[in-house]
Amino acid sequence: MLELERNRSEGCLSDLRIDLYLAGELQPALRDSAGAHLRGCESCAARLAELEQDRDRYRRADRPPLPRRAPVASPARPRASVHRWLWPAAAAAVLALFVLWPRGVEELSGPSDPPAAGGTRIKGRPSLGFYVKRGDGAEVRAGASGDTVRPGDRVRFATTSEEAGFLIVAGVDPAGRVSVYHPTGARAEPIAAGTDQLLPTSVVLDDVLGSELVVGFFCQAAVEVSAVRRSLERAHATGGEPGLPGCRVDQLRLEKRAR
Amino acid sequence: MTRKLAGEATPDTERVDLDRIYRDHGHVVVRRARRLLGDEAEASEVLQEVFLSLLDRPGQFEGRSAVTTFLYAMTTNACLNRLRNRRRRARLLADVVSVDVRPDASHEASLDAALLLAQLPERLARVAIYYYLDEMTHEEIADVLGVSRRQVGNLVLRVQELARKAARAA
Repeated sequence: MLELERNRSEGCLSDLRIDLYLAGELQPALRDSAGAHLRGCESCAARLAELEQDRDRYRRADRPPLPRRAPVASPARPRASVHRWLWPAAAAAVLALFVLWPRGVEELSGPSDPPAAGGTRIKGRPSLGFYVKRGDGAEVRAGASGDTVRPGDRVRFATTSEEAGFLIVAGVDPAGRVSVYHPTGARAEPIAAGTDQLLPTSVVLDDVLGSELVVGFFCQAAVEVSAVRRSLERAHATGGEPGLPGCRVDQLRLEKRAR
Repeated sequence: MTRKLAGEATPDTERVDLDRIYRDHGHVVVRRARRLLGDEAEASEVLQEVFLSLLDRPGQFEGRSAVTTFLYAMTTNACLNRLRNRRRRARLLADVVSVDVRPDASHEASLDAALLLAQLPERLARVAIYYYLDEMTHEEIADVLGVSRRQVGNLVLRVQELARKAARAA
């Protein structure tokens, strides 16, 4: 028959109890009994030493600072003098890379929330944000429009919207080349209402440097990706704003530099 | 962590407290995630995930338990979310599963049993991890889950019952 095992000797301490002991978070009576046990139990004393070392290693490690709330993406502010551009990794490689990222980190109206015409904020306006994971390191940080990214970084987009709908995320480089990051199919894919909802895939940045405008199309229907492509190409050619009927748009800009 | 996090704390006080918790207790999250997920890089991601979640919703911590206990629970939940894949869960639970199989039972049967066990509902999966993997006492599990010891006892019995069913099915 199938049995579930517990191997710890009677009276020995769990890691939780030892962690609480180390952190000084045990009530006095429990602390005293744990201390007495640790003094008399070689096995638990050894475990205490291990956990202590682990804690000390963590504290000595060059760990990224405590993450901060993700800034909300602001509309693109094209820099006329900048002629750099960013390019996504090959589509297959992009889709193969599924990276786990933090969730649920921002509020809709942040300091960088884009102002509407007349300087007032548009309540409920959907927004596009992103996170960056640097190389193979553990650091994952929230990005904002205009941020500098590096080759090898993994970028994962996130949406904030008060309404469920359909989404397409695409970018256009200074040469007018359009890359679609989401979805992989021919039509916009559904997104749920919510804050800072991560898209399922990330993109890995190649070593081509420059600046790219990334646009999120938040639509009421599953519009065709080809329509978004045309909109971006037309906007690039005319200097106008991208847009489609039935869709709201949020934009951000990524600056890709070697260092 | 202090009660301030759950109340009307200003962003500054939240920041100070979380900085301290991140520095003083973050190792608990990393080590636990490393154990549950078996991956150092993913453990670091869980650390970020847990603290981003606390930054976003500091009221999650209600001050009913110690910081360490709270972080155990949060980390376990974060890891289980990542272990939605049944086979990944099965690999985790395989650490605590002993299949005293019939002489003619196959290795496949053992794997099937672990997989069936991996289908435990979320709450029972947490109990199985705390009880069998962490080997916590009922009292400790009650603290982590925020339930009574009696409820923990019932949940453990339920896990054992499902394990027996899994064994029969295997």
